[in-house]
Amino acid sequence: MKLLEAIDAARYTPRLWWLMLATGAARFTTERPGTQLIDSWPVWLVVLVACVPVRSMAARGPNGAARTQHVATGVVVLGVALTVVRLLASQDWRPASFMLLLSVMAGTFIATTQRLHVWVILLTSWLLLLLSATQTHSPWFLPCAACCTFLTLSLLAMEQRNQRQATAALEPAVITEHPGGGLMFAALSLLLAIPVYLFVPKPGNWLPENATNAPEYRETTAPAQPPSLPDPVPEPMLPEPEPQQLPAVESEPPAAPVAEISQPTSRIARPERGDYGEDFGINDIERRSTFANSVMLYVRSSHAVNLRGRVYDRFADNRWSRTPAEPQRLQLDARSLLLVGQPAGPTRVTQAVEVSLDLDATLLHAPGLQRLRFPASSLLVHSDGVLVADAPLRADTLYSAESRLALRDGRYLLLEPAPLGFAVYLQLDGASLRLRELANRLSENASGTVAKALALEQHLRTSYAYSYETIAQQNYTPLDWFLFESRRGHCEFFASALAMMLRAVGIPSRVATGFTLGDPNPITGFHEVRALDGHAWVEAFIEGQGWLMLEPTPFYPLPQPEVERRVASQMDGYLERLAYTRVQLDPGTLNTQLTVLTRNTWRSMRIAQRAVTNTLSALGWMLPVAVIASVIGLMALYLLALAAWDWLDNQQIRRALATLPVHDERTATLLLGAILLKMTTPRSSARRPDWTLREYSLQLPPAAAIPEDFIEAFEAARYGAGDCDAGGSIAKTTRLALERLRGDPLPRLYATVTRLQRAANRLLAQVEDALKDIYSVAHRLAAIRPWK
Amino acid sequence: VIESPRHPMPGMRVHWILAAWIGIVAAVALFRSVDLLWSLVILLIFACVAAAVLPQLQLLGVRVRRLQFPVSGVVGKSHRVGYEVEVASRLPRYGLEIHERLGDDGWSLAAFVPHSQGRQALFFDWTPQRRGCWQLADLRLESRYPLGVARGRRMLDAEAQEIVIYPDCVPLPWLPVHGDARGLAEDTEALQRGGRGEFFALKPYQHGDEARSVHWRASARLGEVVTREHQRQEGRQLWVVLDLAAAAHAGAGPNGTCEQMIRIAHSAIVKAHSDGIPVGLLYRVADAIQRVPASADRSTFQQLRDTLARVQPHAQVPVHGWLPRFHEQLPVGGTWLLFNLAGERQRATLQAAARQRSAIPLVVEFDLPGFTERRETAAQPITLRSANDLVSIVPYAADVSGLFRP
Repeated sequence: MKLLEAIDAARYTPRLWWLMLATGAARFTTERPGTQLIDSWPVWLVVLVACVPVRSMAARGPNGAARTQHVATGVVVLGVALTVVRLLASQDWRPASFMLLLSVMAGTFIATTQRLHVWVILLTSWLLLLLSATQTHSPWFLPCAACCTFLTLSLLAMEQRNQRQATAALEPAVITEHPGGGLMFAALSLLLAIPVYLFVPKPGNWLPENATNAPEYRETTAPAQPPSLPDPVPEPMLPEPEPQQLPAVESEPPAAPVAEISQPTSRIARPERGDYGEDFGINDIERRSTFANSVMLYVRSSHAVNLRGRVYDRFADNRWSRTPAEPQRLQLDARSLLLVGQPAGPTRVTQAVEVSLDLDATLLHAPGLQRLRFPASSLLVHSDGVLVADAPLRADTLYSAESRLALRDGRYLLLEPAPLGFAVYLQLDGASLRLRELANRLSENASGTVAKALALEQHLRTSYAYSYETIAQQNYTPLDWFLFESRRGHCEFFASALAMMLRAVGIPSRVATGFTLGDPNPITGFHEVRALDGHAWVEAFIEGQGWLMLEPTPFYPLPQPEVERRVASQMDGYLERLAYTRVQLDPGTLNTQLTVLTRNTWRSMRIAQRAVTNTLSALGWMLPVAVIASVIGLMALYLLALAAWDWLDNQQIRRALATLPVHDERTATLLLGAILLKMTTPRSSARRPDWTLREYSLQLPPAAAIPEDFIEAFEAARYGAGDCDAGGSIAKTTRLALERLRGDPLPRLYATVTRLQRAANRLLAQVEDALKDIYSVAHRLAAIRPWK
Repeated sequence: VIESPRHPMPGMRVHWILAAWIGIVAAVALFRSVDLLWSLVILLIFACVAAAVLPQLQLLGVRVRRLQFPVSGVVGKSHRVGYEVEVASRLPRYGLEIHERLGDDGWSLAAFVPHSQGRQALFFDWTPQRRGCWQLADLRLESRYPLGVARGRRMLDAEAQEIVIYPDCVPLPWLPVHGDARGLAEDTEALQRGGRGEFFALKPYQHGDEARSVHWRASARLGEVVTREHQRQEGRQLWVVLDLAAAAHAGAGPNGTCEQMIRIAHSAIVKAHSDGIPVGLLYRVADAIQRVPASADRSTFQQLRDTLARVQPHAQVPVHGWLPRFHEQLPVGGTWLLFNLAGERQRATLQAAARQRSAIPLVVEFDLPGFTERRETAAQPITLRSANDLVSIVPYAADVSGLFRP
């Protein structure tokens, strides 16, 4: 391989430049909020775009080649210097490596004169792509990577064509490059890849059980002052009210129309930040919708288990709080914490969390923690398993957690022995008599703790609607208003109601808050946890087992035993949720309209796809038969159509021949010429527009040729010289045309059948050859007798 | 074989690079759980699938026929070649290749067909790089579009045709051919003076006869052009003795000793024919002496050229091994152009064999180490040893036009 061979740089430059830009764009998708100026994307975009003018300016004039080399070297040296500076500043090798690779790429592009330079650019592009893929959370990476892929393939194809070109015997051996070629290739590749991408499940993690695939976490400097978090704020969200789910319970008053209630104390509940403070009221809500849709965490999780932050055990005056207790300080060993002696369930849940916005110091992870990797030297651990860092979590912090849970009756079970302060989980201070009666009535038919808990959960999930609006009347406590009057509310109402009802029937319970994961982004695979994903749910203690995680809010799905790995299915949930969220938060914006349009288009496509899939699966074993029958039927239809076409043509020709105006020789001759052309086209070949009738006749096989005397008559009629019907050519040619019609009545059908016959013969010959080859190989193998 | 310049990266194979890239991306995608890379793997795999499907699609509905192809050619000279390509279907074509049997070892890439639709006549220039005789029959249509990782192939019926490529020829200004060993010295002197010796007889004019030898008066009397035959010319004959022992030759390709030998023989034959000297050819194939009888007529000349186009070296005894043994089958008199590919002892054997048949040996030798090492020495002349012992030594890549210059 002569890498030092000089190349025609002009042929390579456009592809290399686009490759650089696409690679740069892929790298730009990895950019984080805290990016410094020297590695920010506008700076490097300018550098990459400026490569072309810099190169052409440097190459001008005498000593252009040497100057270009100097400029290229300068760019690389500057990149190395910036890399060192960046490393010293943050000791994070990723942005530094991006800068180094980009500067090497830009410098090499400026200096490109040899094949080696092309390969250096290709290799740096591939490295950047791989590094970016492990860093990015953006789905825009995918089109950038696809562009890089096709540009790389285009470069490889060009190399291949050059190689072929050099071996051609004839000249000129120049292969004309046509942009349509690349586009056709890209379109076909995408057309083949997209269905597989959508419907074939993505592979899971291939790492062995005890290995970790968590990202390397980053230590961040704690801020001097913790970020000011808004006061207790619940979360919220989405689903539309579902009045049809409301049961017709006659003993309870119907839900009051929202519009009729106008109490001065009521506040409109809107999605807000999902952090919960040390305590929260069940109807505390603030309205800052611009913040609600921001992504706070990117989580890669093996199971869709909620991220639990805080746990509350006391309910008084419509506020949840926790019993004060001294936390225990645990030292991390090399930033790793292993909780030994904890009971472990069979389901291993691994979660890698990247904080995208500043959060408070409580760690968010699935309950049942066994192992944690976190960039700190120590952590505070509360008795209920809540972990708190010494400093608030800053954006760009990475940590990973491994938890062990069990599945019980379709719910996650956190294995734990009975808590010490047991009575606090049965405290019922804020519960009304009606609530206790309702809880007892709903659970009286259930036997056992779990059955009772599930019955209460089921009642709330099916008889109440989710709404982010909270309107309470003065005469009622918020819980009673929710349970018996409005019958709709957000997750704090559901969680509080269930917790109190569980306590009313003697089941210890507590409210857990944190974030729900929802559906992952189907392209990136990350769960994008937004502020409005803040959530509250209930944990009920089952004697001898542990805490059962209950989900009373109907909007949120129950745990799925199988993780969905098909992109199409993930896309369903993700688009629905995204569109609904946008509609609730920013109705009327262009972004929202586009999202809704995308959701609707996708939904229609899925309906069509499901209809096809259902039809195919309904056919079952009849599918091959149906396919063969369809092919045969379509073929028969096609042949029938050809026969009909031929028959209609023949009818037209016969009618035209019968009505030839024989008294007007000129018109008759011209008409007859047109008829002959119409007859000959399906029987032999089409006439090119620039051929005269005589030239066309010369191209035809002798049997199909047009009679010479008629051609002369036609030319006389057409060009106005000579006799139009010399020797009765009209009559003779008419007879000839009728004979040809009788001799070959269905020319198109005949030609198609002949073609099919030839194709079948070719196929049979190939099958025969293949069988002969197989026979020959088998014969040779049989002749080998190793035992002799 | 049509010899083409070697590509600077002959070892590069796109499919290996693609396979490696897919493997790396898939490994990172699976072991780091990067869904984006998984998407990229799927895209790459189906790009390969598309690259395997498209070559087959490219060949559908394409017909090619030869419009123009020469029946003969000369190594190193350009010839016009034409094809008619007809694309019936509407699917665009981007990478069609026409393959022909233009070499001894099978198919070789002849031409690329640019993007086309409908019927198109394409003309190319063909410069044969090697002599030979090839049978052109079917055409083969191939496509490696777009990546070259897969190939579609179809055979197309075409009229059978034979094409003969003659070896290239260098104009020789001087060819020391004499009647026999006795008159060598006086012939050399007379020829150097431009004289032609005593008148011997009249003979019908043949193509290549000198104009000054036409006997105009006799021609007018007889009604056809006749020329004078001189006594010295009567005994003048050139016999070219080829050494086709493959093991004796050094170097390969157009600059090897074998092709150089053929080139010298062809040049000598052309020169002798243009001088009206009868030329014959001797060589050995499969233990039998093959002989083209010496004559100055055009058909013999054509036969000699055809033979030179077709002969190939093969495993056999070198010329110094068989020439003395078959002396009874060898011609008598004339000048023998002998090629010695061995040492001085072998040269002496050849010279003795020629003299035994009253012939003048004209020995051509090659600088064998130079040919083996492909050592090109600029401006190294061809040396002629002496007037009575004519031995020319040809260095590697020498200009043969200086051969036999006294």
